[in-house]
Amino acid sequence: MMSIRWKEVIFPALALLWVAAYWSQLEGAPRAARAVPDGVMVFILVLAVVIILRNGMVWTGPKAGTETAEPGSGSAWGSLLGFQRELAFVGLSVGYYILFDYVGFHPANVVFLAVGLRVAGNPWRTVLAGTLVTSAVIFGVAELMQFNIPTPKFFR
Amino acid sequence: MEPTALYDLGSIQTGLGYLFTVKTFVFLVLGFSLGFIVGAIPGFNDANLMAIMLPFTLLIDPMTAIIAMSALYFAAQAAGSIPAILINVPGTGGTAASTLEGYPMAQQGRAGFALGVSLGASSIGALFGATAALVFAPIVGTFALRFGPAELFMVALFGLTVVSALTGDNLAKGLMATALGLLFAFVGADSATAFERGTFGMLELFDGLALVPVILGLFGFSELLFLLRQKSVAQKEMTFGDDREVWSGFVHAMKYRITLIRSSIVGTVVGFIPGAGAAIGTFVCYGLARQWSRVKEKFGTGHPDGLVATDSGNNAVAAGAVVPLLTLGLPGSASTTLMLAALFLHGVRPGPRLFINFQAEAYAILFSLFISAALVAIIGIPAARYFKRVAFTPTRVLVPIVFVLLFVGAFAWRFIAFDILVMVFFGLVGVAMKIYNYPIPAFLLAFILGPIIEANYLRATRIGGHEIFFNSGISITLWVLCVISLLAPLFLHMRDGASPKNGRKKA
Repeated sequence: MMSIRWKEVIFPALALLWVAAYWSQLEGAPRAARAVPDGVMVFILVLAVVIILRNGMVWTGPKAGTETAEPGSGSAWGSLLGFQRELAFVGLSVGYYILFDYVGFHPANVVFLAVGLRVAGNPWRTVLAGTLVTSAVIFGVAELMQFNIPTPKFFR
Repeated sequence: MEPTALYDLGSIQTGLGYLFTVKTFVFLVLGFSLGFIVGAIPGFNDANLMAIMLPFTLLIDPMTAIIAMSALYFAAQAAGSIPAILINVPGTGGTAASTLEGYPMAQQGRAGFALGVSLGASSIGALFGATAALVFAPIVGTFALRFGPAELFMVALFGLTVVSALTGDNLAKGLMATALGLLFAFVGADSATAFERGTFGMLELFDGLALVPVILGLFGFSELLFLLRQKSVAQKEMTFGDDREVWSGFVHAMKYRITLIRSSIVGTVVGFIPGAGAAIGTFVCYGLARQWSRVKEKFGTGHPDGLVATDSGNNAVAAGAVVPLLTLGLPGSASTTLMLAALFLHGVRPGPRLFINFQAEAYAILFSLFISAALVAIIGIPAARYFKRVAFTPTRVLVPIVFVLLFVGAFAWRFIAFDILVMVFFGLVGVAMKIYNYPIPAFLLAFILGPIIEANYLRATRIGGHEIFFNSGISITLWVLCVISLLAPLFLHMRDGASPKNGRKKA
């Protein structure tokens, strides 16, 4: 009997997805542009198959051919709920980029620090002090090092 | 009168004379301190600081300016290991390998000890590199000119063979990480034909993925997400009274004599090769230390031997890299490019004739490396006592602040906001790699070496077909080294397994 360890299949599957996307853009590319990447993509393909066969499939008995999911793998979305703080920071990071684009570098820093420090579980006093001190230091460094900060979309 | 001898005593004396004036010494210490502080801040890099300082150096005399800039450069290389050890955030490719042993040590509450080991190894590596640079600089320029595309391709390939030492137990996963790193390195317009690869119409990717956001994402961003579940980086309580642990780490590093010597030699040689970069040097040093160690299983768990290897190697590369910079005018990194700019700005023309036209100046720069190597210990040890406290700061305060520093670092590298998104993306890639046990260092090394491999492969094959890789003595030596590097782990594995003293057989 064969069981699939989804944990070991996800990464090679994502790698193959990236290879497919990359390969699709190479259509019509001159030989020089694809000489090395072609070899690397074939290598990834072979390795993905090897990893899936070696690590992703477990033969537990003589009756092969039946696939069963790894216990608990179906509740992937459910387990994500246990990572709310981590997901919040990923979301905040994407939000930082959007804010940076629209309102600018320094306001984005202030907002991220205030929200981030609070989400991380700090009391308001620490949030205020942390936001003010860190924003001021970054502002000073950016001025001193003459950062080339683009004009935010909101002010264009 | 134009000095013609390779080692002209008069020029050596003049070079030393430049160095031992109060003004030069003060600026050397200032440059060093500035470089050390900036190098220790995660996300900030010495290249930016050097670029900012460049116009200010015009206010002082050329020799003082060049010496101050070289001290700044050197200090930043040594201090780059501090954030790598304390919070797993290497600012450059050269310090990425320091995270492998340094960060686990910080997690075990031995942050001060790890910083001491790092500083000890750094000063020895720097001292060795400086000595080698002083002795070999006048003659190595001629040799380095013999490195053509085929030889540079072979150097990069040799760098990749150390992946076998970074893969842990699963070689297939290590190779997969390497191959993915290479493919991500090939994003952007192809250097030969400008054909867009993997950009999907995004203009920001036309020049490829920038190295710094990728490093910050893979190491820093991903680790910060994991840190959210801990109270502090260090799992143990801090003992404020025991500040002597930095010094004890410094002394402990000296016990790994073989590693120190081997890594310093490897680092210096890699530094001599123009454009090879510190990442190859440090990973090769780490790989060799692990391959030849009798306690391989301790690597990756906070073993000082690995940290000694990476940090002595990194600083030896930094010292060695001054040689192609001075003798060929070839910088291997952004920081050495700025060093080159400083030299030009002050009327010193690097190149094969430097040791004929500017011999005294060249010796002054090389001698200043010795003082910088000593300052790594003199300034580094007292400073590390304070830096180590970062590892004990509550993560609820540390993590959001370091997140912002990462954003700033990712953005400030090229002043492109899109690089922040690149960092977040590679942060998630890093998380996936950690969860599914794919070695991040192997990915990063391949990412760094990818452009070198592709460009030199295409150039070399255009010049002389595939035979060119077997034409020169240097290439053949590198082939031999590649084979040794790949077979050594197997040989050592068999030796350890057969040894009755070992009493243990690895699966």
